[in-house]
Amino acid sequence: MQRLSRPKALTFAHVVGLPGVAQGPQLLARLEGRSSLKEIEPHLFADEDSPVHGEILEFHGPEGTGKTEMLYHLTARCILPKSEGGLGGEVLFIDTDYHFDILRLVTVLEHRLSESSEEAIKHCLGRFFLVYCSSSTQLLLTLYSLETMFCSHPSLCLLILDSLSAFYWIDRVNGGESVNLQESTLKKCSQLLEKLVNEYRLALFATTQSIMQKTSNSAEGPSCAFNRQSDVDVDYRPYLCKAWQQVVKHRIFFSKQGDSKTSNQFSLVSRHLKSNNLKKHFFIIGESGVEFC
Amino acid sequence: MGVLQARLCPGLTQDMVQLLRSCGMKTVMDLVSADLEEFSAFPFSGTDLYEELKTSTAILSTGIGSLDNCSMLVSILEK
Repeated sequence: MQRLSRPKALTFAHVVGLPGVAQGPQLLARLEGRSSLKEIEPHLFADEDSPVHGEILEFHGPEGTGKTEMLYHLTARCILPKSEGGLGGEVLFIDTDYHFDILRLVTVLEHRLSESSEEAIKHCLGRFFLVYCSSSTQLLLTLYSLETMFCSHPSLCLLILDSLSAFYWIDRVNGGESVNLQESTLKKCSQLLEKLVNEYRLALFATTQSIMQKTSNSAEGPSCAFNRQSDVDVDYRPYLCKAWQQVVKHRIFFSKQGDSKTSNQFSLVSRHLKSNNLKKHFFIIGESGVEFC
Repeated sequence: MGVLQARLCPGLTQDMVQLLRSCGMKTVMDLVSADLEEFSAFPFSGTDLYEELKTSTAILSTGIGSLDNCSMLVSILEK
């Protein structure tokens, strides 16, 4: 696969007027199209520690806690045109659970567009791309082949992976007794994701399921140290490979509030791993998607 | 061009070499010539997904208005 040049080379080529090289608006799109993720959701990202393009964020929590709905919310905010309060950017959504619901995304868009005509919806959806992956090996190969897409779509600013933990047990079984073998494909995926995010100035949002329960032994593991520091009860026990733990810069824990059968209120605890800053937010999920309280 | 061997590059373990040989790739040239895109997933555009949705999906009423609304609410909560 051919490695394409980075924006700096394009800037020089543009100045000297080399033929066949990205000119004017395309160059600006490459430089500006990936520059505005702070505006993607001010409730989550408007602080001094807020993630900018080139960072990896993990949404962690049990099923039914609003992680995927939050991804639809961020997707809608990104692909909506600037005139409608969006970023006018492109999104690549990698679905490993095969539960992406295009009807749900269209419903969210319809509620957010001032004029929800079919043409307006299609215009937004033209900035959305979906990939299904059925194994960690296919995920790794797909990430390699998608590099061309990142080069040819300068407005592509958001990469979503729902979910990264889908193949955890399958990889454990396929790796036999060796932990290194069990984790080797995910390790390569993590390293490649970090490289792609840094090279193409993307923001990656990846979801992981809570499939391990918090240990009752208080002396064990980094997860318990985190719980002692915060005044929020977060059920978190890291189980994915170390390579993934190292590339994540920001972890957001999702949970459901109130009586799980009737409540549509959810909460999330956002933790910046470098500064250890914690913030709690509440949101509800309605017809138009996520609404922060 | 060289035969594929373990440690030819950091990612090439003995297991990987055997796996590649089982797929008929014995030399570096075989590997480089392989079309990785055959094995990777193909991205769909949102517009195509929407067109497919319109042609393949119908929303049917149960005949009971409150039940129709309830089903939609259940669908949202499951996400």
